[in-house]
Amino acid sequence: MSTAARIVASLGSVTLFAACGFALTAFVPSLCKKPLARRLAWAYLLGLAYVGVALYALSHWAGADLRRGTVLAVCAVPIVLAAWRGRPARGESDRPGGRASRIQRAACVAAAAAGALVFLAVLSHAVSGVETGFDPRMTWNPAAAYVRAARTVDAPALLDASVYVQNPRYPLLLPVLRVAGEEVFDTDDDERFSRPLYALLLPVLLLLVFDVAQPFAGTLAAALTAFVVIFLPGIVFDVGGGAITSYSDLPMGLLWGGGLVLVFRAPWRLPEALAGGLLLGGAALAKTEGLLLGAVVVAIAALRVARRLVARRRGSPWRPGIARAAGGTLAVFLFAAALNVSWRVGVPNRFSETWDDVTLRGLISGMAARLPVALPLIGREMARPEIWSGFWWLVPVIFILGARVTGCLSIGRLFIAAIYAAR
Amino acid sequence: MSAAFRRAAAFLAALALAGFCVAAAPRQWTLVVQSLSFGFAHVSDPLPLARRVHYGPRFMRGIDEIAAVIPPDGSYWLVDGNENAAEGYFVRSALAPRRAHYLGHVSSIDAGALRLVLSTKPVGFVVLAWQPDGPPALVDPRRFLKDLAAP
Repeated sequence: MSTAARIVASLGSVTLFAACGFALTAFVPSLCKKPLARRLAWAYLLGLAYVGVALYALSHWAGADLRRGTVLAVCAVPIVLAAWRGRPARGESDRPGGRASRIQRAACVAAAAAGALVFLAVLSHAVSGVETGFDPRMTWNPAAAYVRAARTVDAPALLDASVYVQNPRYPLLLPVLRVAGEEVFDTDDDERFSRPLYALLLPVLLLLVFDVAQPFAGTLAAALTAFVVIFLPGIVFDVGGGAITSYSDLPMGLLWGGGLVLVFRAPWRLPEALAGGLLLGGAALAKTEGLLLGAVVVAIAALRVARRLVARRRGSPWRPGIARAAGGTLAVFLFAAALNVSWRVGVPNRFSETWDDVTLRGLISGMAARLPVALPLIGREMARPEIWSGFWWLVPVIFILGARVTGCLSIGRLFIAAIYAAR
Repeated sequence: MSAAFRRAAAFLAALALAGFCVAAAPRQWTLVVQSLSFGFAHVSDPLPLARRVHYGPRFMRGIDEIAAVIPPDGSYWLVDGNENAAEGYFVRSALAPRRAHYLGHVSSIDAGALRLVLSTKPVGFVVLAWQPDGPPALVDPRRFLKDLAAP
């Protein structure tokens, strides 16, 4: 395959996922009214989650081969439905009403230019070099090769207990997406083909940070926050999980964070709830811990509905849409969670980290025993200038000063900010 | 809270963010330049060359020789050449989708138990992952057992 053909195929596969997600956003009012770049960022995440979860389910539950026909059929469904429906869903516009000041415009342009330059660097590395990250070479690359060879997520190499596979029960959303692209464009096992799939998550992250921060903190602060992310080597260039590698951490964090935002910040409507559930389901199938993190979000959403239900009995007004929305999120997330569990019980565990041995009682006593060792280690990691450039010294300063400006310091928001920061 | 206080807090917050960006910029700029130059220099590399650039010529020579013998749907016994398990991971990854059956570290293999395993589950190849003084290598199972039995 020539260089041009490889790059065209590689960008073609990410375009396919983005097109699929773009069609899905047409059904979600709060997403389809966003400015184009931000809508595309959400579309890419939704496309990854939809194509990945659908192919995973078809392969595992329906025995469908992961071949070009199956992938194209799955991708065609939302695109055809959106084209047939024609008019996009109505919703409130996210476009700012007032005209931005000169400083705000300058900050946005500077952040966009810096983001584009850094993304170009990451993309050029991705299409030129093979994967050097430890986890991709240990786990994700072999998993993708086994799935591609067998064209199923139930690959014999994973199901045969005698075969040496590291972390065989790690869920396969990202390897499935890689195989989907490889099948559609009939490429060989050149990992430079699939690396742009991960590289594209950097502009998605920047746009989502801006999109989520702007309503709270204003345009200038949102642009500066995106700027800070651009300057974090740990997020961009770190070979231990940055956008320049094929680790599943950034995809899982974005899918989960996107789901969290849609569930808690978007209007309580069924389309937003289904989209949120899909992103959380994608997170549950992208990494083992995604299942637990997604379950936490769904549980909190269920508690909110229960609280509303109690308030209704006390005479507060009740909107039936709230229960419908929570039900929608729960249904889609449970589908993905059931798929995760159903797939992993068929895979004999071996050469694995100890996720499967963790019990609630063991978790608590283990945390008590390990925290004294882990905390200094975490502190040392956070203080590494080559990874974080002093970012963790900046966070409390900005948080306190920013809370003074926006007047939004609360325990709940502190908690959400802490979770975001930890991801 | 007074408007002046809020304005001061906003100014300080923006200053802190901008200060971080200025402080972090040189390192990030270096990484951007390195990645762009790497991209421009290697974008048209054929796959074998791209792998040699990152994984080293010695490692890839060993992998290519092994891959030429074991078919993609074949299996092999994997032995770690030294105590660093990462090297076994990388060999297995480079040889996937060929299926590896793990025998352990060469220093801790029990020859008697291994003889039993190899006789009951005959797999034609033993791959020695990254020996201390050489690339990954394919070893004949009988020769491998003989070497193990030797004092």
